[in-house]
Amino acid sequence: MSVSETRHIQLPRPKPRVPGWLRLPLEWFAFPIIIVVIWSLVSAVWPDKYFPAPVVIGETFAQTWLNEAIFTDILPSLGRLGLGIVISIVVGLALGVLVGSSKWLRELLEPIFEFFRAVPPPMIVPLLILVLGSGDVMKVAVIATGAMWPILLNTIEGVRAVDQVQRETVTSFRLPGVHRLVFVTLPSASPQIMTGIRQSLSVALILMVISEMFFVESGIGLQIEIYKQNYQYAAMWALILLLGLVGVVLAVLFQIAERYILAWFRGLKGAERA
Amino acid sequence: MPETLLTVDKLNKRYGDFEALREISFAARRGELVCIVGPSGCGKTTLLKIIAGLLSASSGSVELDGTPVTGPHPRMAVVFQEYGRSLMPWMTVRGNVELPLRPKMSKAERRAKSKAALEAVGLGEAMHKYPWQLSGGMQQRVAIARAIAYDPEILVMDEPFAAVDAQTRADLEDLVRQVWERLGVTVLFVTHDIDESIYLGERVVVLSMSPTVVQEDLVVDLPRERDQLTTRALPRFTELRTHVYEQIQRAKAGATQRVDDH
Repeated sequence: MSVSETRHIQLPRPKPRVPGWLRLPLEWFAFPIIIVVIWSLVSAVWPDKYFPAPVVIGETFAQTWLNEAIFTDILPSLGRLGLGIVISIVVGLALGVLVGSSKWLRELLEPIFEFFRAVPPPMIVPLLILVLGSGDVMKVAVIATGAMWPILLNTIEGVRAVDQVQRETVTSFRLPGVHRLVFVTLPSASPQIMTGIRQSLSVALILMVISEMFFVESGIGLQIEIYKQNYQYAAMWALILLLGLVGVVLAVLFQIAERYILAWFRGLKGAERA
Repeated sequence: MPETLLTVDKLNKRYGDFEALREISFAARRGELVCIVGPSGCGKTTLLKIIAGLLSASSGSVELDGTPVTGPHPRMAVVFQEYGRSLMPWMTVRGNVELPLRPKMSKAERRAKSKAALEAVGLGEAMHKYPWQLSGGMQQRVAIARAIAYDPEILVMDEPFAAVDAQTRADLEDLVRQVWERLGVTVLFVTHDIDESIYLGERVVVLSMSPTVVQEDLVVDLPRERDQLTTRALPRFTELRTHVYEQIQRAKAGATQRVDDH
């Protein structure tokens, strides 16, 4: 075959792929659907009072939660959760920036922080009840004080790790402190701050339930106590379903925020690998 | 206005027992392009950081425009060697150029300044890109644009082209000459590259090995119009280059001599 000769080589046809709009729902829901189907089959063949059929759980879910309970239990719980998360982010960031920027403050406080982080957050609930009573203030305080640690410690680390050349650059341009904080320190620490926030979200959800298990008049955590006492298994499963959904919604919201805030970071990492 | 802009007088820097800089003295006139050349590890960066007000000297003084430098000077802009770390990866090219201007001027003024500065370095098209989307040479252009937009009296550059390839380096050298001529700014350019120091400089300050002293202060009597091909082919260029090379070899030998004496 001469060099000048050209041949058309048939490239293998790309396999028919899942259309784009369907890919995400498939990724998300394929596995849960399989589980529900298997569970339904198993519970149809061997009924078990501890593991009610998904249909029963679904019905109970609708009966228990899709009514005025939205306003009397779910929304108050979510409100306290949201407020607790916001407070933990604000306080964690503020303290983290403060401690992270000062070497002596860091050395002074880090052992104490490590100690408090090591204390399981539910242990502080009885103490906070004594100090703050059993109302909303206590519940929000439980969520905020427990969820604060991952954010605080990650922020300290992130602020401390701002690049030396970046520091010298902004110093040489005499950038004032506020500009430094907003345009250099916080963005530079943002990958670590986001890691801290992600950890805090799951802690916050756990604490939301726990804070409602002690003498409370409403809320999701109270309901599970009632169901336990009354052996209402389907209702308990419906509650687990509800909490799982809250967790998923939190995770999705977080991912959307992270996608936006850390777009530069993904690009940078991609460029470094290339 | 006094003709001398920058005066470095008997500057010493010690780190414990280690004497990094010894009695460094030189001056730069307003609008001059001075290169500081010296062997690797001779304390060039230390000297530059002291001049930039980022580091304090053990003794001696730096004066800029008649006032002693105790911190970063408002009329001085620095271009660092590590362009990748000197630019903020979370900001676009324009954001980076405008960052030092934020406290000083309105958004409209900043936009005009950054546009002009980016066009001056040939990056008018790239203002919405992120630094990590650009090549090393282009990133260093962004850093130069940021320094120009700051509107400095003196531009201090610390081995800015040490990490880019030869072709890009030649382009960037010409860019520095061009910026210097067009803006009439004083430039202090630190390098370890002898050819580069002669090609760029109107004057070359040769440093020795540590403890670093000023080995020689040399006027580069080459034509003002520089060209990568013709200037570097001039007999005078070769003479100057040989001369500086010998000076640096002597400096190195002197350093070895001193070590042997111990």
